[in-house]
Amino acid sequence: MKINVKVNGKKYERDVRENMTLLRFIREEIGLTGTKEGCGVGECGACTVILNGKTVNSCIVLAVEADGAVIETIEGEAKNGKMSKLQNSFHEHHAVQCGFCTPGMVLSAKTLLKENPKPSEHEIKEALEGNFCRCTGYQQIIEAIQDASGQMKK
Amino acid sequence: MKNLQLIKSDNLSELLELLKKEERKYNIIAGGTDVMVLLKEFLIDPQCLYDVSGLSELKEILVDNDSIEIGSAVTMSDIISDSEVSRYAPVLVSALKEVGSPLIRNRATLGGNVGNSSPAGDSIPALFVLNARVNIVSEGNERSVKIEDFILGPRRNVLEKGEIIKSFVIDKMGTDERSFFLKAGSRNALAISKANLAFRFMLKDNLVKSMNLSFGSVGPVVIKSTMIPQLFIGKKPDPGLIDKSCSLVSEEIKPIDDFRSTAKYRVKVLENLLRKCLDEFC
Repeated sequence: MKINVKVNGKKYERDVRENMTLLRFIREEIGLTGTKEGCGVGECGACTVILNGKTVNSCIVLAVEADGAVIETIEGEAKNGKMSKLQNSFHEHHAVQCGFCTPGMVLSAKTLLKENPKPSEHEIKEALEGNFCRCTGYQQIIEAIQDASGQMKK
Repeated sequence: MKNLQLIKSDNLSELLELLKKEERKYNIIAGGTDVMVLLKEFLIDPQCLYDVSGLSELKEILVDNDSIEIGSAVTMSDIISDSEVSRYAPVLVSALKEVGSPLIRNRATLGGNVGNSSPAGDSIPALFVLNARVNIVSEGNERSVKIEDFILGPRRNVLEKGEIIKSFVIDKMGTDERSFFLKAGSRNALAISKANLAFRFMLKDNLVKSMNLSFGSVGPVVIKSTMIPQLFIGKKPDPGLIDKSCSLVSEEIKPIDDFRSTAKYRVKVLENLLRKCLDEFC
């Protein structure tokens, strides 16, 4: 089945098998490997992408269901080789250890800040409920998001 | 999942016509948060998927004088953020907030949660206490069944070949009614319920005027409590009555030991969750 999508502002037209997940499409057809596969069943959030403005688990979305959609992945975050404010904040706060969950964390945080520019700590935790991190213990991630939203006392 | 065909349409009657003629094994898919997992784990093996997520008729929320109609393909996120549903059916919003994670709720639909008919589906006890009716549609036919008659057993419901869930009609709660949805799971997010309950009641002149109570994850289907509301209706709630009602929990539910929890734990936790609700009386 032929599908048209816009990924990070660039248009793609591809003929895909109907059983292909959006995750596999992004990694193997488009070649953007920043989006990771963790559990493969929608629990860990490593495969988070933004689909028409909403974060989704791309491992349990079919590529054909994304026909006509606008998709944002972690590769769309940095512009001209420069990290975004949010990425910088993750970097500064050591919110990254192994890095496997980071693309999903950044995209969930990005969506949160777009809808709610000054989230409380509780709201940050709720927004990240679907993204598992097995290294940091989450505290640094929360601090990175607080800082990026201008709420960090320095 | 080898040779899977996805059939999608933005026209309800066209999709229903195709569905009626379909001779292959099929599943209905909306957000896919259950169907995709079942497919990946080889628990279902359809030859085609009928995608209802593009049908605008299934994506509306309509508020009437005394009821709300929610389209089966409205996402849980959209229901949660709907101000009228939050105001008039807060117990449904509380239940949906317990489902999965924001990522899941951005795709998952009410029709999917009910259609999947899991005994642990969090929306179902809330729909029970809101006296929900399920509107079912097929080519040239529509019918409506009560939520408690819709689900027949674990992952079994009354949907026949060619039928899909169109919408749910729920009570609009009065401003003098209160409600709770409480759940026990292994962690806050992304944990399937070990036990849950939905509770709706109204007090008038210190007497219980109405009470609806249902328990999830503690039997093959969600259980509607009859004994406990009977005990309270028309009476002034006091600690003695609350103790007595908690002791009735074990008579009403039929939990089992499974990989998620034990029967004994489920009874105890529901007694405690019920007590937490009832303590609001005193």
